[in-house]
Amino acid sequence: MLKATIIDKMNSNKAITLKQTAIAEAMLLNLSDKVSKTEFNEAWYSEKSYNKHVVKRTKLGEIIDAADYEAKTRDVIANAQKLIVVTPTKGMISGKLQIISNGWIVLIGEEGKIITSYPFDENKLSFEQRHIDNGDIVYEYFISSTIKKILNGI
Amino acid sequence: MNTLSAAQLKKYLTEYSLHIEYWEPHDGDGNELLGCREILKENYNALSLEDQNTLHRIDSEAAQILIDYDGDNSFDIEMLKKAINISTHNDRKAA
Repeated sequence: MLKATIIDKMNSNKAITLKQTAIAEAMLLNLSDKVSKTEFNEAWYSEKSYNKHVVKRTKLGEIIDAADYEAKTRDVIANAQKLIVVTPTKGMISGKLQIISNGWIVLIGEEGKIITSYPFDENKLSFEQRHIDNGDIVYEYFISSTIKKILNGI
Repeated sequence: MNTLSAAQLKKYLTEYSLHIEYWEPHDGDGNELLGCREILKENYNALSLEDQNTLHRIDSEAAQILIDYDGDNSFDIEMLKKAINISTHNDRKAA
């Protein structure tokens, strides 16, 4: 159901899809550059937000410590196979890009910075399904081999 | 939806509480807390009276965060408002 919805939208918006792909891959490369050249917390939306995530996820037992969180998040970005890009359509802000790998999810905001990084939970409504249900534009892309090679190096 | 055990529901209640404790609406990071809230809503009758009261308390904290927030209404904010059924002063300004 999810795939059919996305493919249907892609077929009817091919020009938009190409543009979205370029933007999504540029955001991903920008993020990988940040992650490889700066302190990990600088790749986040804000340092305060990053610190809160570390505390919360440690309390939830999802990570051991900040180093574990960094390793899990880096692993998602380095092994990304596909991207989900969401653009809300009902006058609301915050388009997002989602990467999933090995049961872990990383969400990136419009500025190309990490919003959150968390484990997939099958009991919860997925990020993309929530947006599809809301009538938002949702695109799914498989990452090109060239981009994958760059990401693998982080 | 799978049938959840009392222990799993307790876990989601704890998780929802932690998400609300650390949530800032402008961060655009509401999918997990929404996911927990929806699971707890679907399983409300399976919660103990004590846990139902805890859920109401956490909802009150969530409502206060939303009422205090005066930034743009993002997708996550709109979804949480629907989940806990409140309107904020942003909505009243727009009305």
